Amino acid sequence: MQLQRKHKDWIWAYLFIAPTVLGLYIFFLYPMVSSVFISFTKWNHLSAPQYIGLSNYKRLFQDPTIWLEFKNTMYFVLVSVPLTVGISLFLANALNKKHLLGKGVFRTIFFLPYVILPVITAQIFMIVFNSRYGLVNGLLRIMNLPQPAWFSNALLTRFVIVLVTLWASIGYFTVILLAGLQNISPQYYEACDIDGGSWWVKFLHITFPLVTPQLFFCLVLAIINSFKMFDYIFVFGKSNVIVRENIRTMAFGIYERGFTYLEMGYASAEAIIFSLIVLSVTILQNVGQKHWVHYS
Amino acid sequence: MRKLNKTWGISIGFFVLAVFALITLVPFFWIVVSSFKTYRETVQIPVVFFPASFTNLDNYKELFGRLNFLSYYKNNIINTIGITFPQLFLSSLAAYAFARIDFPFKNVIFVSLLLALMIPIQMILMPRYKLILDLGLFDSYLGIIIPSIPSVTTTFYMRQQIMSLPRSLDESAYLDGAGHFRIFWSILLPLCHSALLATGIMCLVFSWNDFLWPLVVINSTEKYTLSIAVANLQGQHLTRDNLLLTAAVVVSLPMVAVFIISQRYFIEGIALSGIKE
Repeated sequence: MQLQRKHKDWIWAYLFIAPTVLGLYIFFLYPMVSSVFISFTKWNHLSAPQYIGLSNYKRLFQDPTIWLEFKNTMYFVLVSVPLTVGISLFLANALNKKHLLGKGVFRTIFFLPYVILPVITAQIFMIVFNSRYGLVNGLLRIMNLPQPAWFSNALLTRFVIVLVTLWASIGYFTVILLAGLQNISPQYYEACDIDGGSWWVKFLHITFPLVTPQLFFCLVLAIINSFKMFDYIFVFGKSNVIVRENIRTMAFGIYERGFTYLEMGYASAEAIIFSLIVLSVTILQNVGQKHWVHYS
Repeated sequence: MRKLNKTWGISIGFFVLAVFALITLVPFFWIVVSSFKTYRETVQIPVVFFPASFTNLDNYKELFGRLNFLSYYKNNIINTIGITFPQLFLSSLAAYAFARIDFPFKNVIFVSLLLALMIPIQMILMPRYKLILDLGLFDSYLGIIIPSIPSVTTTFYMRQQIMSLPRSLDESAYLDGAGHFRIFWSILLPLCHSALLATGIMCLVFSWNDFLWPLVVINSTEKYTLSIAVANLQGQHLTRDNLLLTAAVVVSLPMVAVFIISQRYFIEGIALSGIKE
C-alpha cells in the first residue's frame, strides 16, 4: 500500500527532529526530573542512593554556609546587573552617533573580552589586582594613593569580581543595545529637535521607551548569567580558602558539595532550590515585561 | 550655537569612549607584555612595566614543552569541532521540520524544548554525570561532545531564519516531488549561510570556553581541555604568574583571531538575538 504523502511528511519530520529533541530530553529534561529524586536521597555516587525523605531540605535551611551562598549570589545579582546594563546603555548611546570617529574600532574593543575564557579572565584580574606586585597597586603607588590588599577581605574581593563581570560582559550588552538604538527612526529625534528638546528629554521620551525590548532582554540575560556565575568564583577561591569562604555563590556551592565532598543528594537539593529561584525570577520578569516594555 | 553644542557633545562622547576602550585594553596589554617576563620580573616590587627583553620566549617554550599545551590545544579543537558542526547540522534539520512541516504534537514538542532552555546547568549536573558514567562516556571526549550537541537556542534561531524565507521557494520543489531533505539541503540551507555562520561562531566560542561540564566529565590529565589546564596552572601554594599570563595569550589568541576575522557576522548574530526576543 502506498503511504500517503502527508504521512510520509510526518515520518520525515520526526526523523529530522529526533536527534535534537531526543538529545535534549536525554541530557536536559531527564536529568532535571532525576535530580528531584536524587535530592531526596543520600548518595556519594560510589554506592547506591539511599532514600532519606526531606532531610536534605531541612539541613539546607539550617546551614549557615548556604545562607551565605544565597546572600553572595543576590549581592552579585543586585550590584553587577544594574551596573552592567547601565554602563552598556551609556556606551551604546555614545556609540550611536552618525559621525563618530572610529565607531567600529570602539565596538570591536568593547566586545573583545567576551571571547576570552572566563577562567583566564579571572586569573588575569587576580594577577592585575595582586596586592604586592599587581599592576593596579603599582599604578596606585606611582600616584601616591593607598594600595589596598584586594583579596584580604570579602568586600574588596567582591568588588574585584564585579569589575571582572563588567569587563567581560559590557561589550556583549552594548552590541545588543546599539542594535536597538539604531532601529529607532531618526524622525523622532528630528521632531524633538524642532520642539527644542534637550538631550535629556530625547533620552527619556524617545530613546529609553523605544529601546525597552533590548533593555529587557539584556536585563534577563544579565540576571541569569549572574546567578549562574561559577568560573570566576572557582578561580578566585582556588588559592585562597578565606576568600573562597567569603565569596562562594550557590552555583559554586552546588559543584563543591557534589563533586568535592561527594554529597550528591545534598547538592541536588541546593540545585533544586537554586533553579526555583532562577525560574521565579524569569516568571516575574515575563509578567513585568507586559507592563513596561514598548513594542512599536 | 546649537551646532557648537553638538560638536562639543560628540567630542565629550568620543573622550569617554576612548577612556573606556583604554581600560578595556589594559588587561590585554598586561598579558602580552608579561608573557615575555621572567618570574622575577613578574613579582618584582615596584611593578616592572616592560620586560628586559621582548625576545625572551622561555614562557612559551615551557608551556608548549613541559606543560603539554599543544595537546590541550588539540583536545580543545577536537571538542569544539565535534560540537559545532553536528550542532549546526542537526539543529537546522530540526528547525526545518518545525518551520516547514506540519506534524502531530509539533507545538507540544516545541514548547517542551523551552523547558530545556530554562534549566541552569547546575541543576542537572549530578544526574547527568551519573548518566555519562552509565553510558561509559566518563573521561572521554564524547562525554563532553554528545551532551553539548543538541541546542535549543541554535534550533530556535535557525527556525526563525527558515521561517523568514518565502515559502514559494520550496513549494514548487515540493510539488515537483522533491524530498524534504533535498529541499532542506539544496534550497533552504544555502540561503541561510550568514545565519549559519553567526550561530556557528557563537557555538564555537561557547564550546571553546566551556569549563564546568568538561571539569565534571574529564579526569585524566591528557584529556584536559584548555580551560581546565589553565585553571590547574594556578597552584595551591606557588603560582607562576608569568606562565599563567602566557597561557592567557596562547589560549585566547585563536578566539580573538576568529572574532576579528568574522566580527561582522558575529556581531550581527548577537544584535539579532536581542531584536528577535
